[in-house]
Amino acid sequence: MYIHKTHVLLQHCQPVKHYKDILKRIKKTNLRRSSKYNIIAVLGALQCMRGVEMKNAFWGIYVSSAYSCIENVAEVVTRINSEPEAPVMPFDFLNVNSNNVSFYVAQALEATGKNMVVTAEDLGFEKALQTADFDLCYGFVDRALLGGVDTSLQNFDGAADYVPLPDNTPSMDGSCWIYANREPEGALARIEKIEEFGTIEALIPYLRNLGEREVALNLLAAQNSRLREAFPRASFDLRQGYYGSQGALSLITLAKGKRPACYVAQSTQGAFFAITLQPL
Amino acid sequence: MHACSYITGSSLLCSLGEGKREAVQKARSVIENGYERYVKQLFSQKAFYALPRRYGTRSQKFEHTLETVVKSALEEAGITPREQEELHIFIGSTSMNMGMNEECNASWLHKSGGREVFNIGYGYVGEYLQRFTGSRHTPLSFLTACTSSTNALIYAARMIEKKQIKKALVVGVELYNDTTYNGFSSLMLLSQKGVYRPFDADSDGIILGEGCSAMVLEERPKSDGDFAYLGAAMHSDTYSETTSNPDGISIFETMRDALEDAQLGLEQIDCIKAHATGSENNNLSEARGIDALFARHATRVPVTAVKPFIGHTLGASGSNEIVFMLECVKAGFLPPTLGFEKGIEGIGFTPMQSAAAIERGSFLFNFVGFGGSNSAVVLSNRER
Repeated sequence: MYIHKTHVLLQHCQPVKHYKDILKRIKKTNLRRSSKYNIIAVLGALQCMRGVEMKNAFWGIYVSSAYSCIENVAEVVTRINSEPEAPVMPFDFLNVNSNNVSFYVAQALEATGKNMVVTAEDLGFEKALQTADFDLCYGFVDRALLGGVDTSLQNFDGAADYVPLPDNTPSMDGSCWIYANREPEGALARIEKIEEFGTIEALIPYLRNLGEREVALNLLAAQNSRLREAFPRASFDLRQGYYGSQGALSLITLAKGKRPACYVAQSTQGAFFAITLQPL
Repeated sequence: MHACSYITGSSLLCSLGEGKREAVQKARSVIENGYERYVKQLFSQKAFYALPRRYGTRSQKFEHTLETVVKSALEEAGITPREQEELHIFIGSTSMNMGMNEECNASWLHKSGGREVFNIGYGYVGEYLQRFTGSRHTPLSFLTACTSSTNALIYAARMIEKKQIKKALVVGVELYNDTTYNGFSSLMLLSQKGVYRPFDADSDGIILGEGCSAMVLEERPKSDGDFAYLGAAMHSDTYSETTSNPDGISIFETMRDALEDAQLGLEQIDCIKAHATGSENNNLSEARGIDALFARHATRVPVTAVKPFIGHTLGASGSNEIVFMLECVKAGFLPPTLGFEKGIEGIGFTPMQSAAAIERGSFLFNFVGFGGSNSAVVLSNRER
């Protein structure tokens, strides 16, 4: 799987209008009443695919998210519980139905093929990448566009109960995208292997055998003392803030680097992903 | 016959009963005793195909439902606890555990403590099942509207076919929640008359339901009657977030490609199980897709729809309807399209109006979802 283009949209929490205004300048869409989650997904994807020919290919569009449009969900369920007789308005329902986000992206890009929202607890982007890699590898799609999209938790009370972020780490709006296909020519990087491990005992020898590589960790892996001890130089960079699909950002950063790299992600269940890549 | 994976165990909890055999038995009784009489009783309070058991809390319902179907499917497939560790889990659902979020929020709102929502994101069902089964692999969840659990099945089967994995557990789950029910209501998609009539001229919309099902997929069959996965296809059209393109072309292409993937002609298919939501758009677009398939193959096969038996269970409809229909076939019959009386003008086929005897066959399952998501799967238990 070869990465050809990437786009990072990472901003401190902004109102939806901010992104709608930017989107309006780029593309005419019918997302006037759509959620911030849908808007930043479409915005990030459009910016990633600028200049890429969309026609004559069967596309796979994969969107993953750690907490998607949680502010909208909380608002709707609170209204349901506080005003049981009030209807759920159509756009409120469509905005909490995050199943549709890949549709909005595909529609904006006029992509032919299939589009899906795929996710997993803690490792949503990693599983989506694995799914896209499988589809590309076996010819189920010609080209893949993969996004990790999450809105900031800044305005969501009690966010710390759900995401154990270090103090003073801002929760960001993020929409990071990777366009990949099977062609090495002109690629930024090659994803070499995507491996899953059920235990840290299986992971550590694998990582040691990889040789000299840049190693980047996800939030949970960075909090794993055994991993930190085994790989003291492994990076976990929160200088730009944190967003739910941080794995997408880490992979893009490694793909733009100069050295062979490995990205390690951990779930709360103690499962691991190790994704090796080679910048070209 | 080209087959690379088999359904070696399955289970279903739906409005018809707590188990697939009970569901099929009840389906026979509904066919014999009259559909309208059945729904009149079932919908005495609300037009919704509810699970038969009542639970104290939604969390209890979530846990009991998932654990019952998973345990039952694993037992039928004879999966050992050791093998469970190597299971790859694929989940399909539209709303995941939204009902628990609503319940948790009610408690928080009324100052009884707790958090605003139970969890954020959509990974909790997977996390729960991983803990329950002891699997060492991170579950993959599909949120592709009404094709969610169909896509979970397709990926599980393809990954076995390509030797990426050996055993898979596919789970479809959709349990009642106010957000979804009220959302569909406000989109004016729900039937007002309370009688499900797919493809019928008097069809007036969808009737939602809840249900949960599981399938175990393996490389080899474990019994003579195990259904083989033969092929599938997935396409999306970009017409609208809530409806399919009324021309039905994408739906046709999906069924056509699933047959090609299965290396079968339409004449080798014994029945098409249509998605058949009963909505005005789906009645037309899917029927046009089926008509186009018949035209391409210059032949026709029986078409049926099973939602009048169990309701539209959204993201779980794929696995629920597949398990239900396969169990009907194992029991010796193809279920008819209940509620159908008079066809829509311009549509060239009439769905099955009475049950047909069958014990083995090849079947094309078609599913359509919000966001133009289309998936079709071919399964067969013909002699190998």
